[in-house]
Amino acid sequence: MPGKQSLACAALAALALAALPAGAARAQGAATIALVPGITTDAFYITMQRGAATEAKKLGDTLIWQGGSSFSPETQIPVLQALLAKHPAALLIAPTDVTALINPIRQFVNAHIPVIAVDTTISDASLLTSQITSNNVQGGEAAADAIAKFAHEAGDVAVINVKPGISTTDARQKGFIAAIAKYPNMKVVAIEYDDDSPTKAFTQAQLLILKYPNLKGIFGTNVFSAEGVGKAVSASGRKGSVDVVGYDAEPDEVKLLKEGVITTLIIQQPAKEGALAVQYAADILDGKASAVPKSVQLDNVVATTATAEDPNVAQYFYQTELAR
Amino acid sequence: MSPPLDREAPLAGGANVEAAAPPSHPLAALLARASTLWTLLILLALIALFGIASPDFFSRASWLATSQFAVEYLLLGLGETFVIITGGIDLSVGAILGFSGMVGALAMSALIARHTGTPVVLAAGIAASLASGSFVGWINGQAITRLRLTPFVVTLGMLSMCTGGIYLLNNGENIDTIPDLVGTLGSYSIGGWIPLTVLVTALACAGSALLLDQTRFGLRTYAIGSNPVGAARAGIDVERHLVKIYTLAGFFSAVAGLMVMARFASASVQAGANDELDAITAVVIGGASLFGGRGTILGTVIGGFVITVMVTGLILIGVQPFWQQVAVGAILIFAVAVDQLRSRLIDLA
Repeated sequence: MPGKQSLACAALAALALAALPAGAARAQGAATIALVPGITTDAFYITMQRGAATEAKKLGDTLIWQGGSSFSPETQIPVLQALLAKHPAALLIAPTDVTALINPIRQFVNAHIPVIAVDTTISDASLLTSQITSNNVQGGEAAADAIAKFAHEAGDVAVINVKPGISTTDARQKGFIAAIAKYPNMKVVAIEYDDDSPTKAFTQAQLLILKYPNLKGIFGTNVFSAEGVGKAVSASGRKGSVDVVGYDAEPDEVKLLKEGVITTLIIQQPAKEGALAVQYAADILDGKASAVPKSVQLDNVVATTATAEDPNVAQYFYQTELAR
Repeated sequence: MSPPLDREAPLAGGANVEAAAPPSHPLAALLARASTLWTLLILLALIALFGIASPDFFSRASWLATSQFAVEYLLLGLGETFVIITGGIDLSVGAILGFSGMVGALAMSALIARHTGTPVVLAAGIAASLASGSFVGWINGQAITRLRLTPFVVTLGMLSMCTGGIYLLNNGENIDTIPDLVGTLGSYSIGGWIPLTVLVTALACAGSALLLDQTRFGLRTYAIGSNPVGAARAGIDVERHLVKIYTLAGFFSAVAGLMVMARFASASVQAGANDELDAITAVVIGGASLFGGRGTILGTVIGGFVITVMVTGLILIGVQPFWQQVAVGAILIFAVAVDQLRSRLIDLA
C-alpha cells in the first residue's frame, strides 16, 4: 500500500532530518529536499516521486515525500506547516489551489527555503524559484493530430471535458480546438462537460455518436471522461470507427488502451518533472540559481493501442509503487 | 396525499390497512392529484419540444441513452423519496452507490483469484454490494435515532466517510477484475429496446410504489413525516421505522451501484459522486415536501426523467450544456412554487 509506505518513508526521512542541523545547506551533497504532492495516492504523483527519488539518490541528496490523502488545500497546508518546522533545504510542491497555498509557501520563502512548483502552480509566481509543468496545450494538439491521422484529416470531432475553470483541462481543450482548425475538412461539433462523472461522459458520448453520423473521434480530457467515452463507443458498436483519445496513463487507462477501448493516450512526464525539480533544487543550493529556468513546460508523449507494448512507450505509463 | 392522522389508531392496531382516503372536498381531491399530473405535463412538453427540434430524439439509440442514464437517478431517488416523506434527507446515497459497488467488485475480484465458479462469484458480489449498502444505511438510521442527530448532519458525515472509503478500498483505482458476465448483462437489452438495468429499475419503482401506497409500512412512513409526535402517540415505533427507511435507502443505492458496475463492467471510484443532489431534485420536482408527509414514487420517476430528458435532449439539439443546469433549477423552483400554491388552495377548499 503506497499510503503506508509513504508514511514510513516520511517517518524515516524525518528521523534522518532530525540528525541534521537546521537549515543545512548543501555542503557535500547531502541536502534534504521535500516533495509535497497534490495527493499521495495518485499514480501521477507516485510516478513523480520515483523520478525525484532516483535523481536525489544520484546527487546524494535525501528526498522527503509527504502530502495529504485528498487533493485539497485543507489537507495540504497542515503538511506544509509540519514540514516548515523541519526546515528542509528546498521545497518541491504541487499546490492544490492557486491562491490558498500562497501564504504557506511565502513562509518557506521567508525562511530562505527555495520553492519549486511542480505540475500545478500558484498565482503569485514571484515566490517560486522555478515552475515545472506539462504543456497541456501541446497535449491537446497531440490529441487533435491523433484523431486527424485516424480520420484521414476529414470529419467531425467532439470534446468531453471535465468542467470549465480547470487550467489544465481548459488548456488541453484550447490546444485541441486550435489544432483541429488547421485541418480544413475537420470540425469540432460539440464540447460537453461531464463533471468528472464517467456515467455522464458515457451518456454524452452515446448521444454525440447518434447526433453526428460523421463523428470520427472524441477527446476525453481526463481519466474519467476517457473511460466513459471509450466504453460508450464500444457499447454503441462503433469501436474502430470512432477514435477515442484520452489523457494520462493511470493503470486503468492503460488497461483500456491495451484492450482498444481507448485508442490513444496523451501521457505527461511526471517522473521527468520530479527529476528536473530535484536537479534544479540542487543547482540552487549549489549557488547556481541563475542557471535554473524560471518556467519549464514539458511535452507529452503519445501512446496508441498499437504501441502500448513497446517498452520505449510503456516506460511512460504511471506507476503505483513508490521508490524507496 | 392527505395527512393520514385520522388513520393512525387502526394502523397501530395493525388490523386495518386501507388505501389513502380521498380528501373530503372534490376540489381538494382534484388539486391533490394535480401535483403529479402537472409535472407529467412538463415532462411531456419537454419530450414534444425535443422531438420536434431533433429528429434523433425519438430513436432507439436516444431512448437507450436516456433510459440507461435515468437508472442511477431513479434508483437513488426511490430511497430518497421514502426518506424525504419522513421529513428527513439522505446526502449519502451517491457515496453509498460508489462504496457498495467497490465492496461488491472487491468480493468478486477476490473470489475470482481463488478460481471460484462464475455463478458463485456473481451471487457473492451482488450479496456483498447489497449488504454493505444496506449496512451503511442502517448505520445512518442508528445514528439519527440513537444519537438524536439530524439526518442532514449524519448523512453528510456518511457522504464523506464513504467517499474516503471508496479510495481506501482499492487505493483509488477502478476494479475491473470481475466476471465478464457482469458487463454482458449490463449491456444486454431485451429485444434491443429494454436494457436489463432499466428493467431492474422499473421493477424497483413498481415495488416501491406498492410498498408506499398499499402497505402499512407506507402508511407509517407518511404518518411519521406528517406528525412524528402523533405517530409515536398512535403506537408507531418511529425510531425503528426510521432505521428501516434509511436501510432501504442504502439498499437502493447499492442496487444503483450494481447497475452502474454492470454498465461499465467495472467498479469506478467516481461512480455516484455528486449524485445526491440530483436525486433530491428529482424527488422534489416530483412533488415531495422537504418538510415530510408528502411525495409519491410516480412523482419521483417523472422528476428523474425531467432531469435526464433535459440532459439528453439538449445534447441532441446541440445547445450549450450549461443550459441544462439552468433549466433544471428553474423547473425545480417553479415546481415547488406551484406546489405551495396548490397546498394553499387545498386549505381554502
